[in-house]
Amino acid sequence: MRAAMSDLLHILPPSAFVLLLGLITTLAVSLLGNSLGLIVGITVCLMRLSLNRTARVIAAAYISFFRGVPLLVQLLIIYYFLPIIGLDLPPFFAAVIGLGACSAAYQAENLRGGFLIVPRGQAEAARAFGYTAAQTRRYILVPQALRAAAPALINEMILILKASSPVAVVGVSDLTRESQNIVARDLNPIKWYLIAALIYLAINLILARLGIAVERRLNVGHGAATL
Amino acid sequence: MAERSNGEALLLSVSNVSKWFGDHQVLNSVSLGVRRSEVVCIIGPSGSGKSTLLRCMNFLEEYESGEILIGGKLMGYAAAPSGRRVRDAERNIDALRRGVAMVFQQFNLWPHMSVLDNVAQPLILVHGKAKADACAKARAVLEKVGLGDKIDEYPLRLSGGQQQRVGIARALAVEPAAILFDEPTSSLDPELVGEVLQVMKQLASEGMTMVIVTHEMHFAAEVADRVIFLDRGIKVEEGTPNEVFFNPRNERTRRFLETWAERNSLFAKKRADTVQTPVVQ
Amino acid sequence: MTFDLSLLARYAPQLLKGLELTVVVWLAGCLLAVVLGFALGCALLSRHRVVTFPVRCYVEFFRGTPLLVQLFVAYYGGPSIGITLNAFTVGVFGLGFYGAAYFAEIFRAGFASVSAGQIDAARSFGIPRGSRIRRIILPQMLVLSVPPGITLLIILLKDTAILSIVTLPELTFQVTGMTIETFAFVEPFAALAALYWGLTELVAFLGRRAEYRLGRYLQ
Repeated sequence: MRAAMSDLLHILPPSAFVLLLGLITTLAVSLLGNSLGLIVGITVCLMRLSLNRTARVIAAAYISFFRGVPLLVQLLIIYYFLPIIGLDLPPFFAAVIGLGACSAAYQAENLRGGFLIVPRGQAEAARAFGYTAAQTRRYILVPQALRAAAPALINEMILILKASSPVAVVGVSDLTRESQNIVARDLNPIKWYLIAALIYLAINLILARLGIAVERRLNVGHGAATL
Repeated sequence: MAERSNGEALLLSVSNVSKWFGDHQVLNSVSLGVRRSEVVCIIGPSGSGKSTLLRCMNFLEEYESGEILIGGKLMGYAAAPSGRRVRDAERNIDALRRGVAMVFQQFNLWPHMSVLDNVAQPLILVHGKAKADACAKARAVLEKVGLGDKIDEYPLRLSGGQQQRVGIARALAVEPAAILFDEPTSSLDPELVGEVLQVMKQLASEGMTMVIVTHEMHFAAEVADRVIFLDRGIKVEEGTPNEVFFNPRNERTRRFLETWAERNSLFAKKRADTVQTPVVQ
Repeated sequence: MTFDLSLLARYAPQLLKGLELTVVVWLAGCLLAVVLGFALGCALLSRHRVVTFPVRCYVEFFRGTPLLVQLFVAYYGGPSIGITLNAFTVGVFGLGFYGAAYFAEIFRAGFASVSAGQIDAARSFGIPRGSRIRRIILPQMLVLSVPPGITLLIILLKDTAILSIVTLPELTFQVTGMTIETFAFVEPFAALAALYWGLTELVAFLGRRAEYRLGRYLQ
């Protein structure tokens, strides 16, 4: 691995190499954030749909808060907050937690939409066969909801990727940060920031294509509205 | 029913009209003439081109060859200097459309306007009437179709039958020379069909020129002056209801009616009983 | 952990100035976004590729790249081509151009959603194109655009926080300044989160009212 990296260093001009590292960081933080968001999002979604009133209220408040407060503010809060409770995590992980917590709120809503699409009759049929509520959820509802929400998940990845650029401000060396570093040394801001922008754009276009292919594979007919 | 007037000029004339959707020929040299106060019903299986033919008459669809004349004027095309015809200017097309109104299968009312505004709108926008006059006329026409108490409602709050009657009122309000009906009852629940057919019967008895694409054979048999059977874009049969329904000349017509009659035993019985008795009085 | 309200009281004037600037930048940016977005949305309906292609490129660029990077290009890149913009201008135009790309899609989709049958009916009566657009298509398209439009306005409101990174002294900027000066963390950020939360909930509430009022004819 190290050998490969140093080989790469010799081939690419230093700036390109640095941007590449930044891109990898961006992708990593986005992917981990998306995954964390999915896990927490499923939990929040189930709470939101639960029969327990307290769970519903907490979930609704969570969703409302994390969709109502800017991501940058959330990142700053987590960045300052973690040391206070004794968690001295590197900024990368603080960013993953921040992105994940925020994404969870949106994913919870997407999944709720997925659940609503699953026809009611399926749950009724399962109960008629003697499935418990938990079994119904696990074997019938959740897989289908995920299937219905799959396009939205890929869409979420695209959104997180774009939304991730402020993590540069909390000390993560992502693509935006690295391009800032290059400009600080190299000047020529328009060139480097446009290059960074185009890299983001290219990744998003690739992901969008991927999303279409996945959607076709899963044969999910609902047009997920991409914002 | 209104008497057929012989020898009068044709209000609507379709001559050898053909139309293609890509490679698929939808209309094959169809000809048809409609005189003042005539009621012409067009029947046929799905995909036979009935609706397309109707939509060509008011140029909602273009047609590749043949001629459609509204009151003697060519609809949709003008002769170009080169001799070939080109699509006519929009205002000429719109001018011809003013004489012919249409009632749609899906009603096509404008949902953001009240019933009264729906009926008044064409009068204001096309016929240049002042708002007060247009609304007065609209009220009168809505009374006529039995919806005088619904003028301030919004279309989506009404039943299907009521919406279609508003559609008919909207067509009547512009005092057209003819009204085209594109399967007016096909989207309605069975119990709502009657109220719409009732209005249409009344219009026919008052002498309105009507071209109706329909699946309601009872209605066509009762109201039409002439029936036309269209199959796969070809006019297969034309004649009085008596001739077409009870004594069809063409095998395809017979087969179509038999399939339909099997599912409607009352009609089959009537057919058996009244082979020679004229239906139109 | 104690909550020191007097801290907030002391910094209230600064915070309010920041809040005011946040709202002003947001409203100005939204205005630009809606107007420009509408023009672009109409352009996307054209049958001529010469028109739609450049607009498509614009929309894909501004929707596919992060707002922060766009702001960097304008704020730090501007001077090198001779245009030095202050943070407020960058903020308004940054939000405006970014939002316009999203509004273009919203309006284009709104136009496409008006059912063909209604347009057929209008054509069948001979209603000319201008009247068709003004009386039949536009009113419905605008009502259809309100729900996604409100969502976008809320997103733009939250994105004003990003403007603090290019030194616009809006709310987030003021609060981070306050944190640096006072070494306090809980009070400033609690206030910050609460203010944004309150604002976005308010706009969402007004949006729901507007949706209800406008959409009444849709059962």
